[in-house]
Order: sequence, then structure tokens, then C-alpha cells
Amino acid sequence: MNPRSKGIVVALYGFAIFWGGVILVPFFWLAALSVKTRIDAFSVPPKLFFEPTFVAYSEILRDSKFLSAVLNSVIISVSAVTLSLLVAVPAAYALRNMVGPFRRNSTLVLLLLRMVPGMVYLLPYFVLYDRIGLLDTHIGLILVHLIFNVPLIIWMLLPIWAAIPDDLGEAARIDGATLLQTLFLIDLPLLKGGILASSILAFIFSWNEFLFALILGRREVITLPVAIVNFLAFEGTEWGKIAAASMFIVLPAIIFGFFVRRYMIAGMTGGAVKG
Amino acid sequence: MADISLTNITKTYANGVTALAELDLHVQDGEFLVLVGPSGCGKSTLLRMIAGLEEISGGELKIGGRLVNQLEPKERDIAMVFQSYALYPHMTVAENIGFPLRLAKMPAVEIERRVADVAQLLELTPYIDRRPANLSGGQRQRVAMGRAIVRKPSVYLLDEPLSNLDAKLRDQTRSQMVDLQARLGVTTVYVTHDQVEAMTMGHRVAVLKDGVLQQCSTPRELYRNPVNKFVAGFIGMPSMNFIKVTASGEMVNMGPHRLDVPPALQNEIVRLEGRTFTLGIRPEHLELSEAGVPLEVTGVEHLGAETILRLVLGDSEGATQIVVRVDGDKRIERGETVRIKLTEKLHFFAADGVRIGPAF
Repeated sequence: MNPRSKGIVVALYGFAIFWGGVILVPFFWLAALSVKTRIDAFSVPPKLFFEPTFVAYSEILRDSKFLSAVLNSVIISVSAVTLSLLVAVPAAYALRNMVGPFRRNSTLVLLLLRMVPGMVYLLPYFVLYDRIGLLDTHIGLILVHLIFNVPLIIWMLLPIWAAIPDDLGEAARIDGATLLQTLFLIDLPLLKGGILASSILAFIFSWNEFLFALILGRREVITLPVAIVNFLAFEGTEWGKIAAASMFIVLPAIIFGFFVRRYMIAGMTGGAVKG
Repeated sequence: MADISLTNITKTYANGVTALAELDLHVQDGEFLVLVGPSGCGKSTLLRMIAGLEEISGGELKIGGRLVNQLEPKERDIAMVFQSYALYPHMTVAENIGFPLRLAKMPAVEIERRVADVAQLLELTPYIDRRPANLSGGQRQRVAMGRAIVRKPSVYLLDEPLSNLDAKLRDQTRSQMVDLQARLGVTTVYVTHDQVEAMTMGHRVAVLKDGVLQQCSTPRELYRNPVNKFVAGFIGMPSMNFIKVTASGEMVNMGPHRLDVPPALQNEIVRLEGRTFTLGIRPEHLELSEAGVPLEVTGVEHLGAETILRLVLGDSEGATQIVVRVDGDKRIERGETVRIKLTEKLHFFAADGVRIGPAF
């Protein structure tokens, strides 16, 4: 490496560390807040060294509202991802094997659906759900998550799927496989990484979803992000509990983030099968 | 075992392009038929139509006397080897070979036995638990063959199965495949663009051009009596020389040059008096001589046993390149002038490319 490119590398690392700091400082501040006492939390200047306490955690873990919010979030996210896969995988299979002018248009429409802000869907869904009694139900929220999860999964799977040579499907057909057998015995095993990666991303989107949960969930079906906002109570904000609950929200994202990275790479290269 | 009969087979795409036009062909039971032609001639399309991967626009396709136009590939009792091999990357060699049997719901014990037999036949036993990614090109090719053989189908369809192998391995595999086919006696249709493969492997060779069957004969017949200029030029390495000539008396004129024709063919030339036609001469059927038209040597390729000379027969109107194959012991350098004479092995083609004149 010549001195000039070495300089560039050092500069890039410097920038990455600086930017990482900008992004992570609030996160660390929140993490610290979750283990501070109320007095430490508001001391000026902020204390860097303090006696950590897990009072906030034990409080929220004994808070039945919080626990039911965790349960709601798990139920909704897991069901939404499962249902999205059931819709998106066959849809991607169809799109991958589709010929003619509609193919490009359909994928474009999917992308547009994904890009439209949630607010646009909110009012029609609110009115619709009100009429058919899906307001404030798990099923209602789960179904609404399909709007953003299905296009996401299809869009992630399509390029990986396109990289699986047509010959494999044809060979399977000659070997006597039906369409479904080809899907389950040839395509899906080769798409494992991509399916896992897109499921995890979809799960994180569902887990973090706030807008629909706030408006369509209301009283009975309160998810984690909404529950945290509810800690901003009228009688006084419970910062410790907010911080501790926020750590719960971040947790799956951090754990799965590592997986996604690994499987994103596996998913992208897994399809590149050479004869 | 089964024969394949194609009657009036036509392939027209939705955009109106005709890939194959009214093709008639009969592949006998146990025959090794090679489909050969330049890329885009329709040979792969034809193979895929026999396989059932491509719809048949018109005509009848019968395998073993049974009309199969509308049948799914698996109902046609065929097996196919793809150019890319199309091995399933997530399965081991054993699973790849056994896949068609697994789909046919054969008992596991029987599958295992047949896979082991095939693996032994193809010398794949040591690699049975490997994935395709960990195999060499030749081994992958054999796995693809194994997957075709294991089902004991009535017909093998092979789509350029050797084109991804290096030259040496290709030669070796070529003779192994010929042996295998002879041993198993299964009707085989083999697609290639390589005329050497076509000539060395096929009982008969069908030459296609632009979706039209030109000739289907034994390799020997194709070489000796090509029906037209295209087949004549396609079969044989190096290609046949074509010289435009005019018959004049017992000789032919090529521009200002006069070429002597061997006595046996002189009657033929007299019959064509005044007509302009194409003389086809294979490089191995030209001889160096003391007399005759002088030609400049513009290229020499020493192949060991033989030497290929590139000569230029020129006049004021232009130059025709002529290729001659001579004994490897002859020492001829670039830039020299040599003289050649015609032998009796001449082919005559009319202006439209159709063969005229005597057969050998």
C-alpha cells in the first residue's frame, strides 16, 4: 500500500469512528440511563461513574402492561413474518418464472407499495377495520404488516432466485419433479440464506412498527413501541422505565443484525451456482 | 428401448420467428444420432422439443411409436444431460444421481443399490458423498451422465455435454461415452456444434442450418457425398476449398488460370461446358506437383504428422485462399511458391449450392 492510499484508509477509519460515535452516543446514554437511579439520571454534569441499579428493569418486568406489550409484539411480529413468507415466497416464485411485459411492471408496483408512506394506508385501514371489527385486534395488525413485509421479502428474494440457473428447474422437470417438488426440493433449499435474511429484516420492521400499532391497536393490542410512549405519563415521565423498555426493543435488532449480515452475504452468494 | 420419429416438426415462436421448419427425421432404436450445425441452427431447440421442455408448434413427435407431443417430460421416458450439467448444488453426488428415483418413489434400498451401480460404472464411487462444488469438471459431467443413466430411460438426450471440458479430457470422455452408449444400447440424440464430435461419435449425423435439415447420413457419407455446399464446408477439418470456375473443354477456368481435371472427370466437365459452378476440393485431396498453377505459400501450420499450407491463388480480380494438407515430413516455408494438381476427388456445386456431378 502506498503512503497516499494509507492516508486515505486512516482518514476513512477516522471518519467511521467519528460517525459511529455520533450514532452510538445517544444509545449509550440511553443504556446508561436504564441503570441509573433517578437522582443520578438528572445530575448536572452527567455522571460518567455511578453505582448501577437494575430497579427500572425489575419494575418493568413486574409491570403487567409492559409484559403484555412484549407478548403482543412477539405474537404480531412472528405471525406477520410467517404470513408474509407464505405470501411472498410463492409470489416471488411466480414472478421469477413469469415472462412477458407484466413481470417488470409487477415488481415496480411492489416497490412503489413499499415506498408509499404508511400514513397513506392508515385512514382507509382505520375506516375499514372499524367497519369489519378488526380494530384493536392482533389479526388486524398482523394483516397490516403484510403491506410492508411482503414486498420487502419478494424484493430480497428475486435477485437471488434469478441467479439460480433455469437449467436446474428443467433438469428437475425431466427427472420427474412437479412444480411444487421443484420449489420445495430444489429452489427453497438453495434460497435458505435469502429467506432467513429477509425474514429477519421483516421481523425487525414488524417489531419496530409504531404508526399502525398506535392507531389501529389502541387499548387491547398494545405493542412495545406504543407501550414505551405510554410511560410518558401525564403524572410524570418515568425515564428509567422508558430507557429499560427501549433496551428491550433494541435487543432483537442487535442480535439479529449480526445474523442478517452473515446471511445476507450467504443469501447473495448462495444462489450463484456454477455448473 | 425406443425409436424416435419426427414428422413435419415445426417450431414457431410467438414473435413469428421460425426456429425449425417441417423437419422429418427418424432415429432408430439403439442409434446414436448427432445433431450438428452452427449456433442458432435450431439443434438445441429440437432436442428440447424431444425432451418436452419446448412446445411443438406443428408436426408429430413419436417416441417408441407413442405420440408424445402433449406429454410432460417425465411421461416421455427420456433423460437429458445439460450443457451446464445442471447438478443440484445442495445435494451430494449420490443424492443427485438418485434424485429421479426418489421422485419415482422407489424404495430407499433399491435407490442406494442403483446409485452404487451407476457410480461404479462411471468411476464416481470415491466421490459419492461430495457436493458438486467439490468436483472437477470431468467428475461433474459424469454425475450428470449418471443421473441420466440411473433411470434406465428409453432415450438419452445430450446437449453439448462435453463443451465445458478441456480438450484432452474431452477426447477421453468422447470415447468413453461412445463405449457407454454401445454397451447400454439406448437410443441417443446428441447435440453439438463440434463437427469432430459429430463425425467420431454418431452412427448417423444430422446437419441443420437455419432450422432446416440439410442432410442426415453416416459420417462417411457426409464426408464423401455432401448434398450441398453448406454440408461440404461444415464437415471436415480444415474446411473444403471452394473455387468458382467455368467449364471449358476438358478443363476449368478460374479467372486467367486454367486447371487440369483428372481424366476420369473430364466427361463431367464436358457436360457442364460453359457453365459457371463451384468446385469443392478437400485440403487432403490436393496434391503438390511439378506442373500446374503456381501458388504462393502465405501460411504454414506444422501439426506434426501433417502440415497445413495456406496458399493464395490470385489474379487481377482478387485472391482465393486455398488450404492444402500435406505430409508432415515435407519442408515448405512461408513465401515459397508451390504448384498443385487436382485429384479425382472433386465436388461440383451449382450456383444455389446444390451438389451436381458424380457421387463417390
